[in-house]
Amino acid sequence: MENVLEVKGLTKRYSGFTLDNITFSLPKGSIMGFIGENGAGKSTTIKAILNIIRRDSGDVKVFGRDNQKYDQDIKQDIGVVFDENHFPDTLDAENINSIMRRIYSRWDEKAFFQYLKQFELPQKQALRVFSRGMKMKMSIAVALSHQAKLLILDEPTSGLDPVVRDEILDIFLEFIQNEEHSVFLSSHITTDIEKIADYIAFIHKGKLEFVSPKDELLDRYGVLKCGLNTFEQIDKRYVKGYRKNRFGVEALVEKAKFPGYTVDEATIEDIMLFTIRGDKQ
Amino acid sequence: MMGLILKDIYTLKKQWKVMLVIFAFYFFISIMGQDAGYFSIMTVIYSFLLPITALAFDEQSHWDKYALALPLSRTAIVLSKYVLAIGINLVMTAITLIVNLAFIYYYDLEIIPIELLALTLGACTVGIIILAVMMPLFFKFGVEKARMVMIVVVLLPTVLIMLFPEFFASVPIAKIIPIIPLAVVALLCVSCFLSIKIYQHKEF
Repeated sequence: MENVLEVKGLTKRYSGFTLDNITFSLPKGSIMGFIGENGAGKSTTIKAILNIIRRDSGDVKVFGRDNQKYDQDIKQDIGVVFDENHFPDTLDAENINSIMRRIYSRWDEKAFFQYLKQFELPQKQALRVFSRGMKMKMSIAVALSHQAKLLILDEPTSGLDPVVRDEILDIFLEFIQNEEHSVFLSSHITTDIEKIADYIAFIHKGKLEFVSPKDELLDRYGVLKCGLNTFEQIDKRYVKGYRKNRFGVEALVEKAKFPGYTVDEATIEDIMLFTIRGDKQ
Repeated sequence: MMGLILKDIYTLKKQWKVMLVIFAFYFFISIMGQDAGYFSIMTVIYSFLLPITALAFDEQSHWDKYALALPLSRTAIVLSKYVLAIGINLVMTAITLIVNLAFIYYYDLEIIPIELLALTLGACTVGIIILAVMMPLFFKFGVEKARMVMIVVVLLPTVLIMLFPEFFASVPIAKIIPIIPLAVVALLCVSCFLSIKIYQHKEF
């Protein structure tokens, strides 16, 4: 399968934080959810992919081409949404249309105004009066209106209510209907990722913990609830992480290795939390 | 590049309206005093105020991070600010010149038009020199911090002239004038080069 995004050994050092040797690839036609707690390195990774920050080492290819060498060519085909609006808030939708028309060579004015209508955004009001959800929808409308093949989204749903979040996720699902399209989406809201992602990449303290198809991940892991005594006896090689409470132990385990036990379905959130906890124990 | 300049023009739309009101007010005062000086001071102030305000809006909305995610080169982002600032400076100079000429003819003032032209072009040149010095500092330190430096940059020549009046009186101005345009262009080129270098290494 062709990859739209290939990151190899990506490293960026700051004092106090290092994005350490990140490697993953995003197959064309799929959605990858990039999860991790605040400060884990999600935004740093995205900024390095977009060439907003310089990498110290490693390799990033978008559409099979180096992201630094073909910077502007590549960006014609990428739609970007950050966690907040970056337009000066005195602008209105019509201004944004005139500006973007001169920046993106394949800007589609009709599509843009169509999205504004669909998202119920006013054309002549300054962004200043927009709610957070409206501003986010405006950024998404821009990202979708120049025939982008890849959407790179950094926390596009953070700070939004569940209704708007759901609407936005639907937009991404609609975008991915075209098999030439792909989405790379970071979020710490794991339920959002679970809803739409085909692949999950999990970053923790600057290191990539795992990249895996979502279904494989959910098939593989489960949550085992048992007493302390039972827990002492089980094979710890298959335990990803655990937490003790008053009633016993909850552990994230490889389901297949525990046939006789009651193992509940794990969510992406379970997998993320237990992996971090496992790290601490 | 056009997209970026247009963005700044739209971003400043409130400032344009306020500017028109202020210009109208000072125009009125100038008519009252039969002296276009009041009006001219405002055009000079605005030729600095507008580009700086555009930069401040960018900082406030973290525009640069987004601009760099768009198909725009860092060089284009820097140059667009120069084009905007110089463009505003030239438009303001033209307005000042026209208003002053109108005053001379309408009120039959005893000012020689060629002197007026020299004065206005002089002010325009000084404006561009200040701009050339300031732009790299804006890109390096941001508008807030660089604003302090700007006061120094503007006051320094005045202080120097006050401290060394004999030296400046002995400068053969007539000989220098022909090379000024060249010197200003050279200064602008150096300034652009520095700003681009600074911006290339900036991370958002």
